[in-house]
Amino acid sequence: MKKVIIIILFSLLFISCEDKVSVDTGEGIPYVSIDAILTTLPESQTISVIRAGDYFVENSIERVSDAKVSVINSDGKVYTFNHIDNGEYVLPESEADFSDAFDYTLLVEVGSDTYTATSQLYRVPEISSITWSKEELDFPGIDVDSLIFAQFYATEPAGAGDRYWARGYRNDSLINQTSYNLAWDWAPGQADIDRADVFALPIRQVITPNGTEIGEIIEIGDKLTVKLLSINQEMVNFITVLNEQVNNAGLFATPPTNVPSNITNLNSNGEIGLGWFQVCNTSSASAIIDAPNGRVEFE
Amino acid sequence: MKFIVVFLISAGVLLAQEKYTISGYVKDKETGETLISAAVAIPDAKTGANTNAYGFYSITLQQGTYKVVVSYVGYEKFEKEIELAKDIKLDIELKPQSVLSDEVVVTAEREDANVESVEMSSIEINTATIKKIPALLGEVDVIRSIQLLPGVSTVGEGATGFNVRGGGIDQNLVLLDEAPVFNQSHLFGFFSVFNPDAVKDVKLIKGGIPAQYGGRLSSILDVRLKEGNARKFDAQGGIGTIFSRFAVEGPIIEDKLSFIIAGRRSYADVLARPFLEEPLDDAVFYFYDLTAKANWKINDNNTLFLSGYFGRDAFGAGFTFDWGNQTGTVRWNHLFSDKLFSNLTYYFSNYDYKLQFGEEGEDSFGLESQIQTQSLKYDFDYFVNSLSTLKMGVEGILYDFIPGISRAATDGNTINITVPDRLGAQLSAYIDHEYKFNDALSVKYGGRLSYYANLGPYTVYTFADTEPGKRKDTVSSYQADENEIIEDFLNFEPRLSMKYTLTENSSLKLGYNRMAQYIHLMSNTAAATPVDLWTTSSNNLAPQLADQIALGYFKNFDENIWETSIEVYYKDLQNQVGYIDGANLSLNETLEADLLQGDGRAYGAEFYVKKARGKLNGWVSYTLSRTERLIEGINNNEWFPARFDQTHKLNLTAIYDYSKEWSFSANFVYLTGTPITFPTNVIEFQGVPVPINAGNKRNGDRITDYHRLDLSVTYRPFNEPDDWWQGEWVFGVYNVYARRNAYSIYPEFTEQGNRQATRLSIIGTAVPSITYNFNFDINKAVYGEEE
Repeated sequence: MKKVIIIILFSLLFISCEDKVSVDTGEGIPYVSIDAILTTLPESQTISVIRAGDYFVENSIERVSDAKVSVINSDGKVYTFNHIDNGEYVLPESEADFSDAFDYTLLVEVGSDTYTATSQLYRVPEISSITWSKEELDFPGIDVDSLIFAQFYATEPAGAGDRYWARGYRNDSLINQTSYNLAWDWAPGQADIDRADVFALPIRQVITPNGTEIGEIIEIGDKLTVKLLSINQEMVNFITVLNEQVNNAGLFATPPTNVPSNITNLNSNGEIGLGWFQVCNTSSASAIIDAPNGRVEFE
Repeated sequence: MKFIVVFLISAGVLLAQEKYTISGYVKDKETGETLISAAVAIPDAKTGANTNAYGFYSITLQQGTYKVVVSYVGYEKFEKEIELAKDIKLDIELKPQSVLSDEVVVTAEREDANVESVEMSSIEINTATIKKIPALLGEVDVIRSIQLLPGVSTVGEGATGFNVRGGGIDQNLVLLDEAPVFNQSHLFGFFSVFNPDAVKDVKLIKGGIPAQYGGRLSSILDVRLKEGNARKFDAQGGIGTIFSRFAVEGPIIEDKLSFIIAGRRSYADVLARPFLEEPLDDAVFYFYDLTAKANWKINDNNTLFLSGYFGRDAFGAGFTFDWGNQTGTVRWNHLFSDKLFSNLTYYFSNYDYKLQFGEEGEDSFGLESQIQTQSLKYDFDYFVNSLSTLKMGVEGILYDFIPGISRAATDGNTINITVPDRLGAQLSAYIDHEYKFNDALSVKYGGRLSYYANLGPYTVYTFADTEPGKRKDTVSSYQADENEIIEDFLNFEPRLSMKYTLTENSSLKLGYNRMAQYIHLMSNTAAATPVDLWTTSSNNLAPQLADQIALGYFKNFDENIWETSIEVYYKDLQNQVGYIDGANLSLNETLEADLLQGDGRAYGAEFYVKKARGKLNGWVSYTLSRTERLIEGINNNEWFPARFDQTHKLNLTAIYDYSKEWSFSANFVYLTGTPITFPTNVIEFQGVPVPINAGNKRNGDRITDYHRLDLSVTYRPFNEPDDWWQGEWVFGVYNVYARRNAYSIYPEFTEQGNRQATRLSIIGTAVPSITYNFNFDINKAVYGEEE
């Protein structure tokens, strides 16, 4: 936002400018990065394995296609993920039956390196309803004069220390990809709350796109889906740093720092492992937007 | 301490002899304005003195007949024979040299002041010089001008503040008539709060800092306002590209009571308004300031001064933020005798900023933050004899840090989040003795004792450092009572300056100072912003300390037309503030859990050549320097370059006074690019590219070098010197060859998901400007040329 203001000011004076320039940061270090966020939902599950690229080199990320990827539950059951394309390893919906009855361990073999991580599952409340309404807008910088705002409702149970990551989908595509909606119990306030309550704003609004352009906004006929992933404090820390780093561009950027990781390479001389593994107890609900205002209740 | 006592006794012994004192004020003959640091010389006695900040001097000599020679830059020399058989009061009025004169310039300041004075690492610029330097958009500016001096730099065009010898922007004590100004910037940092029409004198001290100053580590920028014309009503102003200025000054009672009021306002918003379309049609962007001062000369021994500043900046569209300073100073000069000058000062200084998103009452967010201070101080100048001068004083300051008051409203629910105030009290006492051992050796030594207490009431936290560089865990907390001393600090700050004359026109100087700083500016972005906040030293945040030693060689050539100097310095800094990764500096009651402290060091060499006189005058300065920090938890616990480290800095400023009508000036700047941290690698998480900084290096890369040439031409249409209206046109081009200097280079994602480095040039083109400056005599304007 600060950058926006500088730009506003100097565009007016027509003297500021931005150019693409080349930067040589030297060779990066090889990292293997594993993106393994799995849910308990009855749908296919994906783990992706890549090698880090040089930051300023185009298409430098290498998709690892020859890894052996599996997840083992605390009962010894092995789930094998098969490479489909682009370093993505998929467990089909028919085999995906993760549940909070077990803990899980990730095993990814890349050459002589074995990357591993473990995950526990935590409680998650059911989604109780999705509501939406069309609101008139008179806001600077917004082209449209009205928008449909949608929210989900769920009651977070009593007891402090729960953590959630809420994600919104429009017509099965993830929206608000780089704004990470985290809940500390039912609030965004980064503090434990003991009493039960419905999730607070802006968490409830995760199914409303941030964008305000045609094509981004909610239209009649759209299907909106919320997924509420139950996570732990370590993953909250991970997403918090991730959020800062992903949204850190611009004039008033802070120095880049590295996202934490829970992936370990059993071969200590091998390539360093990055990324995150978490099997998340997840509740989900969808609604079709069939009118400017509406409400769908779930049992 | 023993040392001081010995000198005091010897001073007393000397007093017992037949000696008389000549004292008084040095003033401008036309305006009655007192002149700061004018040189009063007694050549027969090989002695002399400079006027103090209030234009007062005092010299004590054996009975006899002496010639008094008084000189000051831009003024004609004053000479008078005096018979010193009793104490004499002699107020001296100097006649300004006509700027329009193209005759050979009459000798100006005491020509060898730079060589002869015991002070080093300090530069005084008067507004006449500042006004001749080519300026951005034709608007001359104090802070941008001092950035042309050796050892002074900035992280980029439009950045807030300035850096002196490896110090952060919060390590400069910037004083406006004794009141500290917490944020000196207008329009982020393009202009400073000092209205050149109201400024009399600017002095920057980078090293050998005298004991009378304290509270910041790196420099003192002492800005003194004009007192207002004591002889006639005068108006001056300018119409420029971005803002206009207007100032009125004059006597209420001639030579007794005078005032000045000066104001400025930008008008880009007014001009742009008709052209703004949505979404910018509700944009605000302006700044204004008002500077005022009055002084009342009650009698020969008492003068009262009242000065104030009020300014505000506002920017934004939908999301707005605004900030501003308010300062006020009351001072009472009292002469206990013709040797003992005193000044009692009360000041207040506030700085605040506000952020606002959305309309109040609807979905909105608002945040306010402030720092408020007030102080009482009493300073004494004791002119013991022609060899010895004592300065001493005491000061008390109260601080109120108001970190944040915020309101957030959604769906009609309002949440107030307020981080409680922090209070601080500082007491200081100092003594400084300047003693001239002989014609060659002068020494100024002394010290400052400073005490700081961080006071309740607020919830005091104790933190434990589990892993360096990570957020500290809260171990315990308790509610401190009102005025409870939570933590206090006592520091002795020794100061020393020495001058040893080698030849008639060359000298060696040595300066040492220790400084303690109890307040800290929280800023973790590439450049400081107006919305950074100040915080107090506390049980979790130690005061910053600095020791600096500087050595200089000064030599003048060709009858002091050329002044040259070489200075080297080494500065050792302790308890420098750093930030954990992901530090949350705003609205954070446990802010200190996110702070780190470590060491700093800065060293360098400064070369300066100035041509002080002649049709062609100006200076070249070159600085070679290194500034580093060592903070556990950053850069793998190794030294790293500070954000404002610039290896090379070259400035060339030339002014050519061609004729009465025309003068030309040029300015060239070269700076090594400032350090920056680029990511080395990229990974992906859930389809989003994520930067990785392999090796966790801090500031390992640099943005491209900065260089720029500015030119300006001043045209003064011919006027008789006593015409009621005098005007001048200033035509300028800033950044003549339109270099796109990088302000910052930052990584960005392209729509294809690739990364690119984007260079932001705040000024990416040549910027032409036209300014018309004027001044006129109000009486003549009202009553006509004939009186």
